[in-house]
Amino acid sequence: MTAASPLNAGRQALAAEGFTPPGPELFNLPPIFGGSLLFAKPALLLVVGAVLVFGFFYATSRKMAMVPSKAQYAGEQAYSFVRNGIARDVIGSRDFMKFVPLLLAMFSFILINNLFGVVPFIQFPSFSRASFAYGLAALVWILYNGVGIWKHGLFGYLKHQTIPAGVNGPILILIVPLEFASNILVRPVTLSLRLFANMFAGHILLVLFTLGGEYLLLEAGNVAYAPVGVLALLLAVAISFLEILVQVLQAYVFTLLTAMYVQGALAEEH
Amino acid sequence: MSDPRKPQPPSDPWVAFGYLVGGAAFYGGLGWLLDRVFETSFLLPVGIFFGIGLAMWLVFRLYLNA
Repeated sequence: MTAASPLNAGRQALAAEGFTPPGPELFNLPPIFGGSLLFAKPALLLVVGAVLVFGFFYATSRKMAMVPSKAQYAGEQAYSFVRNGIARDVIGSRDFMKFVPLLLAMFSFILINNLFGVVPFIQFPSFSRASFAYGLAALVWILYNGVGIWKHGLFGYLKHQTIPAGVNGPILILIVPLEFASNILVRPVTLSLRLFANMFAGHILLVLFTLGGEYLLLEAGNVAYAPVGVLALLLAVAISFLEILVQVLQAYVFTLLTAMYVQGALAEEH
Repeated sequence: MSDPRKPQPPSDPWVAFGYLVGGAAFYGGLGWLLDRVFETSFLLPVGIFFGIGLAMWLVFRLYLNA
């Protein structure tokens, strides 16, 4: 709070009046077991999310029947959404089956971890910690580059990713480094930042409206503020629904882009 | 959904963003390095603008042909 940034100055001015708006320190949670900062609430949520995803698909596919039960139907809907709606539509019917398990696991895992952001008493989207999003993007980066090298060979793949169709001559010297930076270096960054920033901003927004509403209603000591506090709390509920939309959308977008990168690496030509 | 339709070339609009960031970062970085070598200070902005210009050329080319 010592840095003289406009943000901190504003927050200090507000703090002087008794209310400290939430900031990035929201995301520094204490360790759960022992003293290791590595295992705090976000890491626990990742583990819980993975167990829930496994449990869901195990429970819904354990007793498969020709006439599906409700649970089996739900599991099959989720599966066919990713299989047909993402993998087959984007990667194409020849190669897509190899990638369905990964894409389905990825979509379900991101979705459940994002939804943790609005589940009462959990209320923390795991991927608002940037490092987790970087980890997922690194996985995607290894996947699509690996697939491309497997398909075209190392030099064939580099040529495939750095030389756009229909560009010839000396301008290629200028274009190739740009294509390399764009397709190999920037992609994982945008992929992870999109997921992380959406979850981060959404969580701060929800905390701000909830704490602000609570403060105006109960702690400000001025009856005239109370209706505004109620309004802020109602808005927090409304924003929660907006957040659910964002959370589902970001899980979908992350999976869709993964499929697009794989498709781009596999394609014969751009 | 039964036909295996192929996505049109720039199916991912973030390609444009990647070009712009990549262009500014690569040619800006090149300009910065040359600034260090020649002990000047104008090559960094020149590199950034050049990179963005090149990136915009690529973006327009990609999306106008599609």
